[in-house]
Amino acid sequence: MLFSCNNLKVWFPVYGGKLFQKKTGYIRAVDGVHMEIARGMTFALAGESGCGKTTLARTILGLEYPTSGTLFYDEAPLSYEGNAGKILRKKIQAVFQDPYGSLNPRRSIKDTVAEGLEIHSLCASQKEKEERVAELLEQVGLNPGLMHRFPQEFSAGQRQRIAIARSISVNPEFLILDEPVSALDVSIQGRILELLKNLQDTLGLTYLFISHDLAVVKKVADYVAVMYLGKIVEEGTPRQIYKDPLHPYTKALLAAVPIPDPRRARARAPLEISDEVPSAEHVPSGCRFHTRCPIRKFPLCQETEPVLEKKHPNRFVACHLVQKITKNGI
Amino acid sequence: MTSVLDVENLAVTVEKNKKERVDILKGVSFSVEEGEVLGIVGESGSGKTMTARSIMRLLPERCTITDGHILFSGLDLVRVSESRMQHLRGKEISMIFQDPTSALNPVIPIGNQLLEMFLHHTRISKKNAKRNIIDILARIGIPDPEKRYMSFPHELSGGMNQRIMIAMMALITKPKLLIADEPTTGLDVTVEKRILSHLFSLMRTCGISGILITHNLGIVAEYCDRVVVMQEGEVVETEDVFRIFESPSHPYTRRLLREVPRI
Repeated sequence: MLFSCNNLKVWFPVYGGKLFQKKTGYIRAVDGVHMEIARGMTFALAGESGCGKTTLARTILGLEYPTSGTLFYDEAPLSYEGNAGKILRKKIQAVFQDPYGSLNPRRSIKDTVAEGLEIHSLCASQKEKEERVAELLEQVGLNPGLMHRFPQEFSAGQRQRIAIARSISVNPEFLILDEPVSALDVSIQGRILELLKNLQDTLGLTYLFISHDLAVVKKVADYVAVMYLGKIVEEGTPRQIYKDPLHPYTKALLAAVPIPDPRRARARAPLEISDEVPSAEHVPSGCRFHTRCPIRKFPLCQETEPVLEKKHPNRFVACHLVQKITKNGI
Repeated sequence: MTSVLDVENLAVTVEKNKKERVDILKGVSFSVEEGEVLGIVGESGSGKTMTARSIMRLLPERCTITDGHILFSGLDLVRVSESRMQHLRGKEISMIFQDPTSALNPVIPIGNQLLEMFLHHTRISKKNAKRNIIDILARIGIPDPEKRYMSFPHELSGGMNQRIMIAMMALITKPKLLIADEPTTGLDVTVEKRILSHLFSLMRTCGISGILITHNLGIVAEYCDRVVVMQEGEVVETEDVFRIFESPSHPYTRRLLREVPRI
């Protein structure tokens, strides 16, 4: 395993009170996540906004501290402290959602891409640095002649390519892609996804791909985990998830993806779940999905929390309904 | 069928510097029939938003309409006076923008923003208007509308804010034509589906014609009656929605179709 985490929890305290501020509760952004990512794979994390995907990514990057639980990178506990931390920062890199916010508007593309090279002293001379930046830009499909320009001169798709060039500049092993294509047009999305795939093949990268769009996830993922309110509710191979979704939440997410076919799109049943996600501060009792679940048959759903149970090899689902049905052999 | 809006040969240029002008719309023509929803698709930079803003006469500075007509209920919107246009905007033609959180005023509670719109366009007492607004908020699926009335935009999610925009633009004044410019880009798919199906069923019941601008052909398939495909400031194909998905004739349309992610 390249990366794994065990019962990871990231809670943020909430303060309140009229005169004296005191802790009144916690936002349970990530609330008990187990995850194993093997070398060379694309692990996709899907879910709506506010389900904790980004917090999880930030925790892996060392930008948030875990409240409890352990993270492992390459079989060793993940820690960003000291010299080992610097080496780890070189191994784990990230690409963020907003290509307008993630590039410094006052630095040229060359300076942006070369920053990592300088920090990790990967280039001996200015000339070597420039050559490396040119090579990187070429690798992501940009004209190296543009390296002295500034971010505002590029389109959103080109900026995302620059962000990718920056992330691969230090020869990382593990890339965290947090909604890398959500801000882009459909047609540009396809090209960026293709680029990411090619880079994975040539550089042997491992990806954690975070997205709310299951149609995008399908194009890249080797393994899919669906997250809801801080917990993974279903995971499996894309084939299993898309052909035979078990959890009602996964089914609802799939039902919401637009179909580019007027006849089939219009024949579809209306969405069964409401779109209001309960707050992560007041997580519902029992199954955390029961307030929105279209089925919600058992009193059990409101009382006890379902565990992520193994269905087949590599197939897990956390739902009383599915577990009960298979136990009774229906 | 009669048409609500006729855009004929519309040309818009932007002034780059004193000497140079760049064409951003080159002879755009299409019409919106009564009660239909027209989809405008194209990549970013194809002129979709500029077309919409020309209709609203809300073009950014340095952009000018150089040629063509925009006919709306017997008026040529290219030539009407600004004061007349101000009367039409919001009452007869409305627009929903892409980013609802920045389209709403951040320092005024959403209820008061709706109230302002209400009082501007209708003759109704403040008290009654307030009751109507709470009613409308409930109708567009906002839980606890009385409490939400005094909420600020930043306290609500993007999806909620977009619902408020829809309430503001579609329900309060019941315009003849509603332009939605990428109304759900950046929202979750579940929220997107709910908002769009809500919006279009409201428009059908109120008899509002619409233009839906998007880069995603998947959305067009579900909600539009006819489709206009734009590329680099030109209309390359106009077709019925069923036919365009079965047999797209322009290579650009075929490419856009191929690029839609599918499940």
